[in-house]
Amino acid sequence: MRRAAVLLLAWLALLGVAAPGPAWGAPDGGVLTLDSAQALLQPDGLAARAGWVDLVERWDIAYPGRGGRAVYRIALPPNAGAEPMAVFFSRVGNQVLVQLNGVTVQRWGRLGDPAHDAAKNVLMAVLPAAMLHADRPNELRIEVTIQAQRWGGLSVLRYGPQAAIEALYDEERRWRHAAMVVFAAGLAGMGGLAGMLWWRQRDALYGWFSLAALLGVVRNLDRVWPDVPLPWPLWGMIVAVCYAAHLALMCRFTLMALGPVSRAMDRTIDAAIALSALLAVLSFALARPVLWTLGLATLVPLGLASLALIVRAALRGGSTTAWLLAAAGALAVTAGVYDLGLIRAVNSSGLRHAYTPHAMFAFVVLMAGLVAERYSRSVADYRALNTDLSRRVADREQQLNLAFDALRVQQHEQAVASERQRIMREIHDGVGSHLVGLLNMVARPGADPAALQEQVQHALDEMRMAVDSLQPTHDDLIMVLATLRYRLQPRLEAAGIEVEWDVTELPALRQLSPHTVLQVQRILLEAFTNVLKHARATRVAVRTRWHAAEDRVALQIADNGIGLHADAAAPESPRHGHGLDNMRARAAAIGASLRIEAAAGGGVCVALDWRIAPEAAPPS
Amino acid sequence: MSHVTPITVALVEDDPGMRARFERVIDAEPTLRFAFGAANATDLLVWFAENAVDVLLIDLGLPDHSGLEVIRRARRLQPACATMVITMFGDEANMISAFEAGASGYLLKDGTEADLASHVLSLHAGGSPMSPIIARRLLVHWNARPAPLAVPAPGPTSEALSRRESEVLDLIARGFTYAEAAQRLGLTISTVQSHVRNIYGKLGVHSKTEAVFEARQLGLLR
Repeated sequence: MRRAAVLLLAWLALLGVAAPGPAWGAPDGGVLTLDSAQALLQPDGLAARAGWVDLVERWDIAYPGRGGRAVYRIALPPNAGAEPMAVFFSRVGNQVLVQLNGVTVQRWGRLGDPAHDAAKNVLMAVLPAAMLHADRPNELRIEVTIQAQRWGGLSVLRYGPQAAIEALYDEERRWRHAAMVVFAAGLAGMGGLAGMLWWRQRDALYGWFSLAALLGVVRNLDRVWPDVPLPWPLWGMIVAVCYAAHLALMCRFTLMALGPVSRAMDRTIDAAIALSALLAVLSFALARPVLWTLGLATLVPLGLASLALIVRAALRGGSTTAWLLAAAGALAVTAGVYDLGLIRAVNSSGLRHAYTPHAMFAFVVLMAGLVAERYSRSVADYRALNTDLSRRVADREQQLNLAFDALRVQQHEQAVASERQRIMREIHDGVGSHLVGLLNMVARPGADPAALQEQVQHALDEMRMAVDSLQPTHDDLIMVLATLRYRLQPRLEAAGIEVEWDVTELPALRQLSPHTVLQVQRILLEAFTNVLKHARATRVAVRTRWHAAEDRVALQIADNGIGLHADAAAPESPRHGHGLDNMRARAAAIGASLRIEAAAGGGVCVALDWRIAPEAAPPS
Repeated sequence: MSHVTPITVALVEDDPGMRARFERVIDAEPTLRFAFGAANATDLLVWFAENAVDVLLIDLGLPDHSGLEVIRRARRLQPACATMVITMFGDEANMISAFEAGASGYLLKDGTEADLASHVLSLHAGGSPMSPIIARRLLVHWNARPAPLAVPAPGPTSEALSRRESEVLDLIARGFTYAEAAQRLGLTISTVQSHVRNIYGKLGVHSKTEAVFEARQLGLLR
């Protein structure tokens, strides 16, 4: 009842003031700016005040730390037009009931319930033409309930045709509402990206930016979110702490982007965050708005100090990044000081804009540029590294090739030299010794032509074998035997000796070097020569066998001649014996064993056993 | 004897002693007639262009041109003439080159004088010798394995070996004589000899067009 009486009084007072008939100004497009009202203000714990109030004045300044209730009455001029009119509220809160001529036209939140905060947004109320008196002033009654430190109360409002007011409303909304949404999205996106980069790379720069940006999201979202589920003033405390940390961490990010931050500066930033956060908490806990204003104020010297460092770095280094950071820093500090000095600390209408969020968004753009630049630099570095590695690999490859070539040439030369040595030795021991023997025989008077012919034949055989030993044999022992037979076949035929050629396939013998081939050929030639010269045989059997179980090649040359004992009595027997010793020595030289025994048919059997794998181990 | 037309033989050999020896041996054989002995390729080719012979014996190591060029040129001038290489050892690389140039056989220099004449007769009758190493090399050549030595891989015009020819080559490579090979394959010796001759012929086929080209390059053909 008492409240109703107060309201009534206020209403009468309003009428009383309005009665002389206010000079209705009708400026641009018929939009009136209304900056005063007949009000009844009822701050909690203080006496109510009724009378004219200047709408530029803010409840929080007039009644710091106090909530309350207020009724504002504004006389609107008579309106005979048919088009609907509207009221634009630059700021009204925190819960609002709007009535025209006693009829409710708009509600924002429920009076007395702090869950909704209408003061965050610009608002518009439509006044239908039918409800407006054409012949007398209309009464606009705005009743609000206010929570402390929540920018409550009524600020300057505008009245006019709905079309004009809507245009105004849309523009303001774009600046204050849409911009906050965009900033919040930008901060969240860039903060998330930086967070992922930090997670992968553990680069502190990304980590601090991510934290700063995500804290900023809280503040920006709060600006456009009337129904926060957390109770006031707890929510106010949280937003304030986030905002303080957001601003201070952006300082840190800016400094880090230019290089290592000194320990003193790091400490200063930590201290500023702690102090402003503490002041924010105390401010909302104790309902002392000035503490939060102080908390924001502590960030100003931090911003200025950071700006000084950045400008110094820009002057020294002169990089584009440094200058851009300096510009963004200057913008942010200016905006911060402006908002603090001209909006927060003093009375200001809702028509005056805050610029800090806009300025802070510059850092998001800078961060995006920074990430892009770092990425391109990394790519360029990787490319350079790749090129460098390729070049080094090519260099090393060339060195290796040169080394291999040198080694190959060296090996080739060594192989040629050793082969030359071998051929010289063969000529010396083979053809050479036979020719020397021949020379001695020719020099002796009355040399036996048959003996001479034999000696020449030996020399020729030696030479042929030397040539044959140089032919490629493809590791084929059968080939060696076949070649020897091919050479000797005319002589064996001439001597009337039939050859029984019983050779089977043998495995490839890797150790068939020209030297080995020559030794085998010499052993076999000696055996054949013995058959031709001494055996008086009509038949010679050549047999090869492969004993896989023992990795052994068995080679036999057996004749059907007179045998060893009969031959031992022959005049040539000492030479014969010498020949057998030679054969054994040659067999030993290639890791084979030689047996000379009686053949089944009565003749001589020369048997060569050759163990060939895994290594040419000497026979036991 | 006089009513049998003797086989005419020409020789190019830079060693005068060897030349004289061949002349003596061939003249001593009534079925052979020594027609011309040249000390170098140029003399021989001048003479050869005007005179037909049945057999041409060629030493590969001539002072002015390679014996291989002489073989190519001779094949072109007188396709009916059998060109034969005289060699000390019958070594693989030289022999295969000679067969590719168109030689139809070879003759080892180191036999006795009696052997030489019979070899010439045998060659003319189509009995070319083949050493096991050459047989083996030809097997590898036709089996298109990577050629480890001087012989080029089979050209596109190179004819494939028949199965019989492969079998003959295989037996020769393993040291069997023509007679033994014939026995094992159930053929006559002359059939084996004709296989050998055909194998040599196939080796020479793909080189004939090259030979003409090379001869032009060398200025031998005008």
